[in-house]
Amino acid sequence: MGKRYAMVIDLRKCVGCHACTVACKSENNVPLGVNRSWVEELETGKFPNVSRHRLPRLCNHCENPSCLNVCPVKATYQLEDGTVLVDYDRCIGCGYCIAACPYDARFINPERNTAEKCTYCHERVEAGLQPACVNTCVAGARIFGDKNDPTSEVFKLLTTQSVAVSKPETNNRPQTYYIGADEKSLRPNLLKIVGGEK
Amino acid sequence: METTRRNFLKGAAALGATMAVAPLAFADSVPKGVPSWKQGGPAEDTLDTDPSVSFVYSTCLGCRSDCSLRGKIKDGVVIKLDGNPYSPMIADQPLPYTTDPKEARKHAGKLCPRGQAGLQILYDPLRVQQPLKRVGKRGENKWQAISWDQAYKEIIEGGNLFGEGNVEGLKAVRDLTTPINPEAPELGPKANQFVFLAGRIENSRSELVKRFVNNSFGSINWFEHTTVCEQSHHIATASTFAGKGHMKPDFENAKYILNFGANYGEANFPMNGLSRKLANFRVKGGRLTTVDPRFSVSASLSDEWVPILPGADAALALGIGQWILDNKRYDKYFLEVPSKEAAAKKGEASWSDATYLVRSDNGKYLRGDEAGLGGTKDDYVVLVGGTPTLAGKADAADLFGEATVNSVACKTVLQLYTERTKEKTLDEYAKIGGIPKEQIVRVADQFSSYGKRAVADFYRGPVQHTNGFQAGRAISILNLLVGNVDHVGGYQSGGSSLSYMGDKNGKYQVAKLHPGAVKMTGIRISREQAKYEDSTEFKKNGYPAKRPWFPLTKDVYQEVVAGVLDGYPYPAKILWLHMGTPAYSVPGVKDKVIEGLKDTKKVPLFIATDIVLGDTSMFADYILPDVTYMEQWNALGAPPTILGLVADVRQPMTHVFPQAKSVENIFIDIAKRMGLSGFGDAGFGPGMPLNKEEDWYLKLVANFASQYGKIPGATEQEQVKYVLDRGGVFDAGGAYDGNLMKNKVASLCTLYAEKVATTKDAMTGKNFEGMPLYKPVANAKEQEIKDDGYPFIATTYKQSFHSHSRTIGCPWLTEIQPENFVEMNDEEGAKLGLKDGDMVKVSGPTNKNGVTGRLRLRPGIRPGVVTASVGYGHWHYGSADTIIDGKNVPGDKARAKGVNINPAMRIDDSIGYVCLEDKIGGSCSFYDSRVKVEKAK
Amino acid sequence: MPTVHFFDTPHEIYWGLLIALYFYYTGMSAGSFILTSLGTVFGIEKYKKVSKVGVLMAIVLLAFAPLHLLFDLAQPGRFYNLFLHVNLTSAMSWGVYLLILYPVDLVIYAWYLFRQDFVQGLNKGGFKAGLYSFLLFGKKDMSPAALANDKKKAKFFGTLGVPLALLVHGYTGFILGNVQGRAIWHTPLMPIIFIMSAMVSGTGLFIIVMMLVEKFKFGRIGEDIRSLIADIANLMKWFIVVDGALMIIYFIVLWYSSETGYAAGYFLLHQEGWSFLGLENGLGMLVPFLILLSKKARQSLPLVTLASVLTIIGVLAMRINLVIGGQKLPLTGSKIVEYSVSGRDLSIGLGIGILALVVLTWLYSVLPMNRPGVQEKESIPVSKGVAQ
Repeated sequence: MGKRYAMVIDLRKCVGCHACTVACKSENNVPLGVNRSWVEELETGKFPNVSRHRLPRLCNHCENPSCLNVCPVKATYQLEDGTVLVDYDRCIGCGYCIAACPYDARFINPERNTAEKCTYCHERVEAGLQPACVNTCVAGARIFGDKNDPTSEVFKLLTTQSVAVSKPETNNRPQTYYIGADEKSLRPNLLKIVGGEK
Repeated sequence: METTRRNFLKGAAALGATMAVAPLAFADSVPKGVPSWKQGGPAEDTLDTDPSVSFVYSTCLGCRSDCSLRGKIKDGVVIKLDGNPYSPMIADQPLPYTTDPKEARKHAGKLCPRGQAGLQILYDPLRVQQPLKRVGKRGENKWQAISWDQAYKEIIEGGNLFGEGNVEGLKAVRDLTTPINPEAPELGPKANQFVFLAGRIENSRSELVKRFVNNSFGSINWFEHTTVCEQSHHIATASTFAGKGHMKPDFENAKYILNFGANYGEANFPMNGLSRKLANFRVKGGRLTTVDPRFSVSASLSDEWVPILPGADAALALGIGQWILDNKRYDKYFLEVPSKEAAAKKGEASWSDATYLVRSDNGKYLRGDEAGLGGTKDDYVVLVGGTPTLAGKADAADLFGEATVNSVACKTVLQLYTERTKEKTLDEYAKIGGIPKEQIVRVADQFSSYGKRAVADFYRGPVQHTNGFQAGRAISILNLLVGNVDHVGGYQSGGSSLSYMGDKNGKYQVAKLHPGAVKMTGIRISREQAKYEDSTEFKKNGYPAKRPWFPLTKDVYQEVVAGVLDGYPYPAKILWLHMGTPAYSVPGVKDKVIEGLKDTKKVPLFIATDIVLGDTSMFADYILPDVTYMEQWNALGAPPTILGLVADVRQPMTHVFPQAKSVENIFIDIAKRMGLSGFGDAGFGPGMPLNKEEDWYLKLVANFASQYGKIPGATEQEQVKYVLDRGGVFDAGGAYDGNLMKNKVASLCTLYAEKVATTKDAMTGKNFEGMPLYKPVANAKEQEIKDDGYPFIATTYKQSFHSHSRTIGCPWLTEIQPENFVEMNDEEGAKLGLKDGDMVKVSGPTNKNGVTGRLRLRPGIRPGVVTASVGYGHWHYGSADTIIDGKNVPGDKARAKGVNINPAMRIDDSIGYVCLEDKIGGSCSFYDSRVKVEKAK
Repeated sequence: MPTVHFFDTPHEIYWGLLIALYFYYTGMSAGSFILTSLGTVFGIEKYKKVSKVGVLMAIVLLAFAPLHLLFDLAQPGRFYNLFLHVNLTSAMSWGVYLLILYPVDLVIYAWYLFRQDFVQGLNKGGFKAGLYSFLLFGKKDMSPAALANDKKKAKFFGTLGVPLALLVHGYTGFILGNVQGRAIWHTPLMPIIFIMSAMVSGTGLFIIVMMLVEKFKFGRIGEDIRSLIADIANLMKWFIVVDGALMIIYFIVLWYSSETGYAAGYFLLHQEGWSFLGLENGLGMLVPFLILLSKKARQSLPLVTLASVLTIIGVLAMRINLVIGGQKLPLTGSKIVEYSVSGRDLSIGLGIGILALVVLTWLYSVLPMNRPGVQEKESIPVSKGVAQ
């Protein structure tokens, strides 16, 4: 099997510090107001029985990416290793990929005026470095690597731990795997958001 | 393959070493070359492996953790900050120290969000870029930019500087012979009227400034800020663990951690390494219990959350102690050991005073020479089978018991401790803590079920109280009960460092290299490290003193300010505030401090060194532009969470604003202009100049190299380069020594604080308590504070993406959470008719106007408590419009967002000018103030 | 159970008013074309009278529709990439070709419809004659064979135009319907709903335009047109019935589809209630339907006009509710994503609308709108003294 990059986020370890968020901004010159990676956190319960759930989010570099399917100019493309990238010179900025991504992973970069998202720090990975967020994750919760390589940490975790992905029903086949994710945090509680849950 | 090189950003390619010299500070609101963060980072991103980038290995100061840092630099611009991969502070498996720096390019260590955002402190467009002198009244925010020459001249010479009459400069105040008050000569000479007060000043920077203030200028008044942080933790820990002020669990091997209010995962030391160790501890199955009124990150990662009422930690700890004693779950074999030799026989490095006899008449340990046992005053006395025996002669002694020895009534320390824990029942402790009794029992059971691999840790939460020292001691003692000190998996004193000052075996014993050093004398304006009983005032007035004295602690930040503003025990003439902001950070006193600092009679000359116009430095007469931590030097060590050897160096990565000057260089310049000793061409001695900061720091780094002894290189220069190329000296290995830690306390650890028990409170004339106790909130005069009608206790906490007062200018951090909240229990808020998102007023008995913030209702706040995270609610720090040279520099309003809850906290109105405080440890009380919360109009 | 979200990472709605307007324009173009092709293509004689009015309207609406898209691009200068790169899985990529084929077909179709009138108009002289002469490209043959050819070709291109019209609007339905992540969009009914609502709004707009053309070109609305309007109004009633049925099916399936679908339905009934129930389905469908139920009303020009205006508004609301409302439901986070139209988008939308109106008016005024039995009223004799 060829190389297939994936990310495992071990939420048992995540402290919700947002180092990944800021490292991504710094590494990738992401302008203010838009994010390639961010952390959601919710607290739920009734005092004193309370729990907190964190969910770092980023592009899922899906097996079957909606964004890639809908791009009218094939500016979004996927490498053999699974990395989904945007050709910034080709992108016309129509926003279809942004509308189609089920994970809010994309945005229009207000400086460059093209669609943009997490690249798994592709250049870094090519040069043998880790993605900036993985590199900086203070608790070591983010693990990146080739999920087809039996010696990789990602492979080991995927084969030994129970993992969840966000919104599997969209058939995007996302490649960000969460260990210890709370169901509540993997998707918005829409009914509550629209006021239908008292 | 189609390329996606991210060469898209125009960025600030022009920004480089060749920064255009701004003719005036803030000449443009965004000076040329300073990046607009709207566009992203400061320059095109470049891979670490790109040969066109260089690296500077340094040390972070995004918070006080001092994580090892590496800056990536291209064309003189720092474009990214990462952890230094050589250091055990930033990775579980750091690079071997001998790794070639070229190889190290391929690795980067971890860094938290504050650390990453350091770039935005460095390239903050609102930094002070040139010395500023006020042109309006203090605090009017009107300035003129002046030259360094003018600034130095005016500060040194004084004169009619502001058209408000004569102001004495440094030269006039430096009088080493005339007493301040001839009737109270113990206060010292007039030179003491120069007061240096630092907020954040780090090791080795401190020593240089102390060299100036204490030993060249001759003032005794050099202070830093520790009591506003956690001083009572240090004093309590040191009082228990033989002078070690900071201990941490051995996270790698501990099985159970009972965390009293330490902010793991958000702050604490070092946030970065500690978070990682905690994560590993949890994944390996370690159990964690967190005691905190807020459902903190630590609580959220815990097996059990104990949502205690603020200030009740001592009650909980004593309750746990009582249960452990009642159920005989203590480590008998550790506690009954009375001496080093006996400890060694049992494989212990430290031993305790549990068996030592304490005199009931004067609260001292019974000594060998008093017992008629033929011992000396250095011997302690124990009971063996009820018979008094010299401690050194017993392998084990009675834990409990009392005896009259030589007609002196005595009890063993553990007997005293037991009696103390039994002064209240578990039900009473539970009631004080606002938690179920079953929870106390459960926690005590858990804590005492893991042998020596259970640790009771604490930090700021339990100690920033009026009873903080005693709470800290009560918690510390739990570790002695399970005998975990120095043990693998126990409470331990951390890794090792090297002495940058070279005190013992360094190449340069820097402190001694000071020809003509002045010996400072007198009483500090904070009355710390001095006894009231020795003062003329005491002889005249007796008890109580006008304000508390602090014989058992130091760096009592709030009392330095109060001393200056109250003119007690003497008036100050010059206040130098460095990287500090008491008006913002000290509870309760914002308005008082601002009012006092504006008064030129109380503070005739007020100088500040700061990187921006701070919330307090904006009231200064002069603001001298300091450099940021990415532009300065330091030599440091690591907190005890980190095992192994860490001797960190901070070194400049760049220098953004040419007119900014490090505080070291400022004092060197001033000393030379004033002709003071210890600085200049022969500052360290003949042929050894101290003309610039490098002269100082290269000696310190050389000390690291010489003490480590394994640095390659034939010359000192080569060795220093080797160290600088790696950002310090690191050695991750060798933390353990069999069942014990390699670095040990290896001393007498004390359940009983003899020194405390024999020291008098200047406000009451009574002795402090040597055995920890629970006490309700009280003012300096020991009057209990009830404040009925104010149903909430106000608290604060630190989030992972802000540090104190200094990160609000970082847009990468503020966009995570643009404003903070007044946080309250959701059900309680609903009962009060408050809604999430409401604007609410938080006010207290000494601040009826209160502060206003947005309400957040959440289940993870204990009822009866409101809290707000720190770092928000600034009135300046770049948020206010400022007039410089007649031109308006618009403020960045985003920096004023959110709420600083400190001003709503309580002033100790029995003495004024300060918040409530802990008279033993000196800490500010942050978590005792009662407030009310109502919908803002 | 109370749940508190600590951090709100903002996400924007990128497809706003302009995209909704784009769908709206293509819809009305397709709707009006299909309606008016009934004569030429399906041989329903009475509709032949209005084919020309309809085709011009369809062409102009379609010509201006993509401008909305162009202005919505973050990189409008790169629109040509749409032609250089094809992505078969992208509905938008097909759309590019439909957006070319359809108007080209319409123009050819229109040319055959107008050719005889151009030839007849040549003798009028002046600007119009010049224009007609130019537009004829020399094809002035009025032989019976040529006339038969006109009819044949018109039928051919008109027939081709019908599926193209269905596609050009159906594909916009696919653009939304294909997006799995958004509950409000993700339904196989979407292309059909788009087409049916397009029939409704296209018919509504057509009725109004036709009346205006009659009024201004011929001075009065002829009896034949009056009766045609009643017929069209009757058709519109049925379009509304089908569209409404689809909406009901859509909504019921949404409601019972999943947790997300139920929430989406709840959102449409509550947060978006005013716009979804009130504007789109109440005022925009139910009220016109009720009006058109009555034969008398269908014969009353003011009432038919009112019903038409209401459907036009209703379908606009529907486009906005679907396009923007579909994005208001968050995919991550904890809050409704807010949308407020930017001044720029509003100005562009209005600008394009006015421009389209001006161009359409001009076309109607310069092109020969003669229909069987009715000649344009001669306004000003453009050149006196020229031999008849």
